[in-house]
Amino acid sequence: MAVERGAERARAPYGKSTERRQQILDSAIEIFAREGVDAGSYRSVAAAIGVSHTALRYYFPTREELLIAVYRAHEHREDDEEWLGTAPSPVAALQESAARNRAVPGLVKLYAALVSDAVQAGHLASRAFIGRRFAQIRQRIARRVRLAQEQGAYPGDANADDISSLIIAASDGLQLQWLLDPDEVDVEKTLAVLNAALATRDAS
Amino acid sequence: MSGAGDESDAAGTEGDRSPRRGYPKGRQRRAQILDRMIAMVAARGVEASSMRSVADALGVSHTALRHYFPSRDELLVAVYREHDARETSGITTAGPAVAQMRDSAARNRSVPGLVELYTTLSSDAIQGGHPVAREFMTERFRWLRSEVTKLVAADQAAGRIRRDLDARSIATLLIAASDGLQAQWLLDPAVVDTERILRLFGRLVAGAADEASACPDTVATTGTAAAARTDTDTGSS
Repeated sequence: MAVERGAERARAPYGKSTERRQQILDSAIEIFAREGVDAGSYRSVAAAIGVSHTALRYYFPTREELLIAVYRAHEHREDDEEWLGTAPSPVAALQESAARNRAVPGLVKLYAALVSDAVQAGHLASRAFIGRRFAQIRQRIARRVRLAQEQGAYPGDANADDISSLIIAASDGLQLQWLLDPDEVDVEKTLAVLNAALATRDAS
Repeated sequence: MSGAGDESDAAGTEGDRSPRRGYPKGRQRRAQILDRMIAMVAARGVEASSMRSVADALGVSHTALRHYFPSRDELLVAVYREHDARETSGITTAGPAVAQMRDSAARNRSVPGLVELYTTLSSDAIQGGHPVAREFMTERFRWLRSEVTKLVAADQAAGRIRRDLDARSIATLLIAASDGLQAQWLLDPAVVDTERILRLFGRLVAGAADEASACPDTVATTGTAAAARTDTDTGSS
C-alpha cells in the first residue's frame, strides 16, 4: 500500500530525530505484533513500547496518530499490491493475508481499534485514514473481481464492487471472531467456503 | 414490547454483579438509567457515553451511577444487552437465515449509534484490559454461530441454501459479513448498502428450491430482487 506523505511527518528536521522516530515505530510494530496491547489507551501503549510518555508525545502527539503510523508502517512492509496481483483469486489473496495475520494478532487488534475509532465521532484522523483505506482496498479487490469475472471464474452479472465489499467484510468479521475464539473459528477454511460460493456454478 | 419481562431477565443476568439485586426500587432505577442510555447512544453515539457525561445527562451523581455500573465496560455491555433484548424481532428460531440477518441490518439503519456501540464493544473485547466486553462478545458470537447454523441447516433441508457448503461455515460467514458490512456502512453509507450486499450473499448460497421459484427471501423486497433473480439464473447456467 502506498505510503502517503502524512506518515513521514517527522516533527524535527534532524536526522537523529527521524531515526529515533523510526526506532519507536519499529519497536511499536514488534510489540503490537507479539502481544496484546490495549490500543485504546495511549498510556498503556507507551508502557508497552517502553518509552516515556513525554518522549512518545513528542513524536506522536495523539494516540490516533501513533496507531495510524504503526499500522501504516506495518502495511508498507507487507506490500499489498504484490500479493493481490499474484494470488489465484481475490478471496485467496485475503486468505493469504489472514494466514500472515495469524502470526501477528496484535496488528489485527490494532486494525480493529482503528476501525472502532473511525466510526466514532471526534476521531477525524482515524476516520480519514480508515475511510480512505476501505475505499482503496475496495477498488483494488473489485479490479481483481472483474478479472475473475472476465475469466468466467465469478458470475459475470454480479456487481464487482459489492462482491469486493462482501469479501473485505467477511475477512474483517472473521478475524474478529477468530481473535475471540481461535479454536472455534478457522478464518482460512471459512473464506474457502466464500470462494466456493462465489465460484460460477457448473451446470451439473 | 418485550417490555418488563425481558428487561428483568436482562437485569437479572447483569444483576449477579449488582448489590441491589432483588430490591425492586434499585432495579427500577437501573432500568431507568439504561433507558436513558439507550436513547443517548442511539442519538449521539458512544463517545458521549463516558461515565461522567452519562451521570450528568441523567442528573445522578457519578457515585450513584457507579453503584449500578461499576465500570464503563459494564455500562456499555448492559446497554447493548438491553437494546438487544428489546429488539422484538431479533434472530428467531424460524425463517431463512440470510433474510433474518438482512432484516436486522435494516433495523440497524435507524440506530447508527447502536451499531457504533457494537463496533466499539467488539474492538474493546479483543484489546487487553476489557474482560467484561470480552466475555460478553465471546459468548454472544458462540450463541449466534450456533443459532444461525441451525437456521442455515433448516434452509439446506428445505432446499433454500445449497447443500454442498458447510452449514456452520455459511453461518460464520454470514455473521462476519454482516458485522464487517455494517462497519463499512457507518463509514461510507452512500457506497455500502448492507442489505443489498447481504442479498447478493443470499444469491450466492441459494439452493435449488430458491433458484427455481420466488422465495420468501426475495418476495418482500423491491425491484432489485427481480434483477437479483435474473443474476442467479445466468450465474448457474
